[in-house]
Parts: sequence; C-alpha cells; structure tokens
Amino acid sequence: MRTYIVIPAYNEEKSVGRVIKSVQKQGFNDIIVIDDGSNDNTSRVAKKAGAIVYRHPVNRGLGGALGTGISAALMHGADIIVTFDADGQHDAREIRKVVQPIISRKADAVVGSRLINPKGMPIIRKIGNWGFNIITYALFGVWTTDSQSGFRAFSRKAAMKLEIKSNRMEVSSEIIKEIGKKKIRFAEVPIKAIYTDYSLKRGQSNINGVRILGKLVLRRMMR
Amino acid sequence: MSEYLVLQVIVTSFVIFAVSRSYLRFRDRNATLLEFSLWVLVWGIVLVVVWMPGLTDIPARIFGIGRGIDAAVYAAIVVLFYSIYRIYSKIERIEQEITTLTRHITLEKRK
Repeated sequence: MRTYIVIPAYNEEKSVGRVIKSVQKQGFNDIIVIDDGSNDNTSRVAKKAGAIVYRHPVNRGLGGALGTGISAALMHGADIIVTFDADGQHDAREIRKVVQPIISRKADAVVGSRLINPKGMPIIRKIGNWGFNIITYALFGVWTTDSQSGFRAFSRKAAMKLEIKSNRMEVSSEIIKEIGKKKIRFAEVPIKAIYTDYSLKRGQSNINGVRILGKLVLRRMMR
Repeated sequence: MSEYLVLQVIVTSFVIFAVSRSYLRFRDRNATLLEFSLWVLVWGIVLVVVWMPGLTDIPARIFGIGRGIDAAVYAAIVVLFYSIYRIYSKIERIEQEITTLTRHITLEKRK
C-alpha cells in the first residue's frame, strides 16, 4: 500500500527540512509539502530535502493547504494519506503506529491524540485543547480526545469522502465533523507531542482559539 | 423645534446625496433596477420617518414599545445586524471560492 505523507507548511523553512528527513528515515519517501504561499524559502528547502512540493500562489490557511495536499495525494494514487505538521511537534517514528488501524482495516480515519498521554504539554494548552474537544462534540456530535491534532491518517476511501471547506485552523474540527457525518470508521492512537520553543511559538494561542470558536459557531449557523 | 429642523435638513441632504450615488451606479449599469429601487425605498423610509416622526408611534404601539423613536432605533439595529451577517456569509463564500481557485491553479501547474 502506498502511503503519502502530506505536510502543510507556511513559513517553516527552519523546520520543514528536518521534518522531511525524519519522515524519510522511517521509510516513507512519498512526501507532499504544500507551501501555503510562504514568504520564506519553505518551497526550496522542502524540494531539496526530496519532497514533492506544491505551492499556493497566495496564503489560504491550514484548511486550504490540507485540502490541496489531500487532493494531490489522491492524484498521485495514494492508498493511505497521513497529515503531519511541519513545525516538528510530531515524532515521525509514530507514523507506523498511526497508520496501523488502516492497514489492519480496523478504521478508515485515525487521529493521533496528544491528550491520551499528555506528557510535556503546557497546562494552558491542555485546557484549551479539552475546551475544543467539548465544543467540537457540542457542535458536531463526535467525541475525540484531541480534535485539534494535526497528525492524522486516512484510507483512500475516507480521503475521497472528506469535503474540506474551512480555510483556516477550524479545519481540524471540520475534519472531525466530516468523519461523523460521512460515518467514516474512526480510531484514535496516542501520540507524543514534542513541545519545543519553536513549535510552541508556531502553534495556536488560546486567543486564536476564541477566533476559531467564533468561526465554528457561525459555520454551524449557516448550514 | 427649530433644532429638529436643522437635523431634518441635514438628513434630507444626505438622503439626496445617497440616492444620487445609487442612481449613478444604476446609470453606469453597476447596479440593477431592483437594487436601485431597494435603496430608494430604504432612503424613502428614512425621509418619511424624519419628516413625520409621529408615524413611528404606530409600530411602537403594535409591538408594545414606549416611543416611536425607540421602535425606529430597534429596527435599525436589527437591520444592521442582519446586513453584517449577510456580508459575513458573502465574504466566507468568496474566501472558499478563492481557495478552490488556488487549489485548482496549484494542482494544475504541477501536472
């Protein structure tokens, strides 16, 4: 089965090269980087590291980049698609663990949850993430322990069903919503979160969280 | 009362200005007849209310609001909120369309 790793990246020249290398080291060489209109050398660094690079001419946000990445992976004939953050907060050694439920046909969508075993996550992040889990459940009726995780895996069948409309960070909750709506078989796998100064700076603040919440509620009202 | 006349004159001049703008947009075919009529209607209501403020007492009485002016202010707030919601939805849709275009261009280019 052909596994494609999709890495959305916006101004990640400092970390994307290292992330790609770490993924390759685990034997995954089909890597698609979506450069979401970066102002830095993200594209060049990613290409040099050996990834297939797609570049958005303008910045569209995480949701936009993930959607493009998943479409690209499907075009390349992927059987399994893994989404992976470019900021270095995931451990590439855990990819095998995350795709396992799909290989053994137990699930079609897997979310790597940082909160089953939240070692090293700052308390304020923990609170923010749990808040999002509750909100995601209240709005979309699917319970996850980590609705905002960027480490996911989809079977080809599930990826084709996903309809991603969000442009920005609210995409994480939207994917959970789609899993529920399309009745995609779903599993969670515990993962580690590597919190470095860099990944903390790049991640979401709780204030940004409030903005995401506003978007999600409005989105819900509009349907 | 004379202070109120000053306000009436100012509002009326503004309405004339606003309607003339809409008319120009309509003449240059940047707006449809329907859009133009809608704006004329909206500004017409403003004029009626400004010159005959007593009229607003009728809806006020129907809805059990004390004064006519209060009813007018409440109505304005509702209209404003609704327009913000409409604009928000429209922007959201445009954003999605831009993303769709961006995706299409990006995927097309590498083929």
